[in-house]
Amino acid sequence: MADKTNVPRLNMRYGLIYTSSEVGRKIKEIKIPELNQKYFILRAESLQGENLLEFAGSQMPVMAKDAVMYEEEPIVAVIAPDYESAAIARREIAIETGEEEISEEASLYQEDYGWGNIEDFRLGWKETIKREKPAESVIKEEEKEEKAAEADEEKSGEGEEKEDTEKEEVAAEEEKTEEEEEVIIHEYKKVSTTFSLDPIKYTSFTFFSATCWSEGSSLHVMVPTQYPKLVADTVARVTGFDRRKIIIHTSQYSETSDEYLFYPAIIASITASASLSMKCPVEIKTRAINRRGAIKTKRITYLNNDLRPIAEEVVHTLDIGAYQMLEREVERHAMTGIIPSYPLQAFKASIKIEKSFNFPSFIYSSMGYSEALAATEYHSSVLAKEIGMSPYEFRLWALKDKRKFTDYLPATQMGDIKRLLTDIAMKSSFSRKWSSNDLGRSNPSLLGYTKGIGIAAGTGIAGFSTSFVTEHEYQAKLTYTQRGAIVVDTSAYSRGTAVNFWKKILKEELELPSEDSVLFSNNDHSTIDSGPKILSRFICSFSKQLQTNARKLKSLKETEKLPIAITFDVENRFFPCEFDESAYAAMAIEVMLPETSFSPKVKEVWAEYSVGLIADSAILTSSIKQLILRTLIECGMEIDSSLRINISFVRRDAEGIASVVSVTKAIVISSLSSALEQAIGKRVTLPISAEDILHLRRKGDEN
Amino acid sequence: MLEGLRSPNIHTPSNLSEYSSIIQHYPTSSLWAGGTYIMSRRDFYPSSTTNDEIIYLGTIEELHRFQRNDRIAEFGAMVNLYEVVSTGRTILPKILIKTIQSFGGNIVTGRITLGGSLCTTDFRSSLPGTLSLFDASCEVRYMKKKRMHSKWFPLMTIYDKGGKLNLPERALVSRIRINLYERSYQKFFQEGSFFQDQENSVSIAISGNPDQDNFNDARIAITYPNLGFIASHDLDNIFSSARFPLDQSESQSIEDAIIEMGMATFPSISPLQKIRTRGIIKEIINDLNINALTAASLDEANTSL
Amino acid sequence: MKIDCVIDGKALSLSLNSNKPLSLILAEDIQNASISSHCNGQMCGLCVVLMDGKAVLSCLIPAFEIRGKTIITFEGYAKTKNAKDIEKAYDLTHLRPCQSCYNARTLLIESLLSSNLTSREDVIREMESLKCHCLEAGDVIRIVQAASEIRRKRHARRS
Repeated sequence: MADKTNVPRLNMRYGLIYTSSEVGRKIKEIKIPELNQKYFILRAESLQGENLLEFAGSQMPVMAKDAVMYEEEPIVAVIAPDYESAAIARREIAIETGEEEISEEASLYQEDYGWGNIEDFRLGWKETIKREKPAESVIKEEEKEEKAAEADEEKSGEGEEKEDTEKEEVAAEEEKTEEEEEVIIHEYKKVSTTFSLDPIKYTSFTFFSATCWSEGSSLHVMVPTQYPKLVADTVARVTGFDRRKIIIHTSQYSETSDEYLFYPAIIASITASASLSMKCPVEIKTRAINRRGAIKTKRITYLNNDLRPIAEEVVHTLDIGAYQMLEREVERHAMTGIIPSYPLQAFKASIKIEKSFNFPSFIYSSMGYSEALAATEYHSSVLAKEIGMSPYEFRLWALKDKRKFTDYLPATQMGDIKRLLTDIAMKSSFSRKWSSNDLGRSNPSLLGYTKGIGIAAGTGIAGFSTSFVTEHEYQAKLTYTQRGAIVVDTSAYSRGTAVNFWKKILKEELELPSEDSVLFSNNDHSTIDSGPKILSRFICSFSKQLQTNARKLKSLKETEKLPIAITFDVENRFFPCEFDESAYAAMAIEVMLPETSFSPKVKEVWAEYSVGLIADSAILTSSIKQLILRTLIECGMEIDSSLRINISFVRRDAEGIASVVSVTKAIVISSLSSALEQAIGKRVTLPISAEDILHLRRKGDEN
Repeated sequence: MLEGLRSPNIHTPSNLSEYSSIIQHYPTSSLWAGGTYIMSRRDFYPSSTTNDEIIYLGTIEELHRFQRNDRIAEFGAMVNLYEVVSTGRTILPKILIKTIQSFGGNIVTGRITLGGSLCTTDFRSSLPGTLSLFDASCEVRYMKKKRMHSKWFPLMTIYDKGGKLNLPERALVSRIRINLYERSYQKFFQEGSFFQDQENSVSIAISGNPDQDNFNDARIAITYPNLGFIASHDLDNIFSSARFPLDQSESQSIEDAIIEMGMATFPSISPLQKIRTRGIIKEIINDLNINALTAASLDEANTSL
Repeated sequence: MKIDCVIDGKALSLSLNSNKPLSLILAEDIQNASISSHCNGQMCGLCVVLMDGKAVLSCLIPAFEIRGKTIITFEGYAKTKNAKDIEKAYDLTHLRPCQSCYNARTLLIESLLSSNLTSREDVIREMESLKCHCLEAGDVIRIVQAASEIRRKRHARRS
């Protein structure tokens, strides 16, 4: 629920934001129509303070000053006596931009990680054969390397599913002795894939407004926000107003993809600036937006003679839009997802963060983990196909009982994931459907449709990385009062399901008589900064920390007098890896592609989760369903009344609090990609439309 | 200097004679039926170019009437689609009900009027196509020499060949008459969303009387929401002259002929509209093939008995 | 244009542009927080209100049509006993619409219940007007049927 604040409407002015689609160009001139004194025009130059939004060390301008960097970037705010006048005045505004696109620095940010020596696998393995006579044809070492390099280029250039190369034998004369030794270099069988996700540019019709007014010496800001402190800081920076006198009121919102994280802070600071300039209350209305940039993963797996993966190299490229925000953190998330679960002797991954003239898109319900895990899982399915197994059989065969411990994830128990996969494969009749769909695709006109089924599994993560939380302190305070009540001091959005869950944890851990003994205090957001409400931090990381610290408080209570207070980190700063596993999940998705419409339809979804503590399985099921449906729609699927979603849970032998968001998104994208690929018979890029499928089919016919 | 918005004057005539005096007085005024089409146009509100005079037709009593006999059903133009379905569920052709239901739930059909759905300028709903199958006609009221005249026209004639609305200026469709033909085969197909994805959607309405290997009295209409609709004797003849069941090559040639006909009328049909039209035609032929084969096997069974 | 109407039980006399969509009137002139979507008639289905007891898409209702009408938005509806029936049905079935479509879906369910349209086909067709797919069709049917049962029992107790 929203703050019950009475907004003074008397003398209120209303505003809209002018944006331009001429992105990546210098602003030459902004033509403003002649307006009377009732109107007010705000541009970057008229802001009282700095034109800057800062989020965890990353910065971006609030309004476009010299150049338009992304389509939704505020250029001008038009304030008028009413929204109608503002809308008409906005239509009269014109922008003149330079003809040439601003040349961006080519890159970027790149981070590599891996183990073993990938070079050994790129070259192939050597076999020494002893011969009595010296070989007649000698190929020099340089030539051999050239050949190998050429072959490599050819294969990675194609970048498609299959690169079933024949073993090339390159002979080299190593040494000339009496008994000649010949070294034959065998290339490893390679399977390479390119997994692409197109940007999500869908804008919902949901709008929000930021309202600002002055009362005495205070400036009140009312806006829906996932991070009130960011709004307060940005308003203070942009207006130059005393930070301590800015009061933030959070209005009601429902975030589907973190659209209320930083855009409201931008709009609120523009509104505040206009309000202070005009000396009257101002409200600015705009659409709630967030975007995901393009993602591309190129991966090569080297297989040994048994067709087991032994080495892998990956280049994962993410476009995070016009401003590089939190690029290090995005890299850590993506790297965590890009490391495969099957054992490898050598692995090398490069995460490349790219800039573009798109909406800054570093957090879209995920910071890149879900998409990276989807790419990894998709590759497993392609690998399976290449070596003649079903994706389910391959996973059982390739996964060991424990995953390799890396800097990013601990040595996860793979046995749980295998069990989930087996359950899902049984429930969905995966193996049978997998084989029959392949047959059905050969003659789609006979049935009038083609079908596909995909499977995926993975581990979930939540919150920020350990490295990030050591750099940025987000805290909360727990006080045991003399009256036996527990007060939690946090700037976190302390309403909704998460809070009920926290109350339950505290009641159980501290053996309180009722949940009413737990009070949340967040009246002053400036007291304790618990960080933004994103990435399931509050449901997962915060809950875990709350549990640990409640136990500490309990033991302190036995030795010390009340009241006792402890301040703790919202996330675990001392975890040995960047992330802790939060839940395991497996999923199968079946799709149907009718030949009459080319609109892919999801027929059925099977999902199983292995989680520790389940507060309310019905609520959890419902929220997972919502997440699955939302992700399917984001991927361009049509949902009709025949769709069935089957969700089940397996209790894990752990008391950990799980977040299933990141893993659900990942396995939906991955299993859907595999299913569509089977139905269409071509590599797909999500989100996909009927037009894209027609294009893919046509390409196939021409070939 | 920008001026504030002007609030349009709303005229609410209670009958047609009041309407005719208003339209004479304000000849350039806009007619407002259900408003779904006008209000879904981009930048509808606020707009400084909105007509200052609006005549709201919802208050005209005559336009809400409904009457029927054994052969025809007649609806006033302001009867909304929800009312058409609820009042005519038992007598109207099933295909018409299906077509209306394809618009959406009651919340949508309750706002769309029968007249409004026929008289949109750059959007064609699937309704005119389906109505043309039943030789629907409409009463058009128009001004001539400062007097209101009315005349019944076959529905097809209020659109030009390219599917655009072809009514005289200041004309009003006041009543729509539907012939209650009985046809045993009636099917409505729609692919894509007419409201959200006009460039890629298509609907086909088909009716007729299958009789062994013939498809008698075949009537078919193909609608492309962004372009218009095709309904002609040539199109009907393609099905009337076919002998079912058709083999794959015959089926292919029918598909080709229909696509060719569509392309001749609307050269800008999108590739997806083409493929979807083909897909639906294939489905119809398949359906009629099954029909023919079932009839044949039933005949055989009867003979052996 | 002066428009008199009743919104959420309050008799109002509003000075409005005659063709202003109701969704914008509610959001901008009445500051009704339950309407947070304006799709310009693109049928997103999120701006449902009850006009004289019938569910309508408020972005398709011009100001001049609300003269003398009774409008109930989710804000007003949430306080009624009818709303409690649906709320109970959500709890009973453990199914709940997402925050984005909660208001619109609840009002749509109310319009189905009040017009006694609770069959599978009716529910599916009506819910198709809502472009939010946070619930499976089967789940919505379960909610509607549970709500219908709760209401029936409440009416039986009252009589």
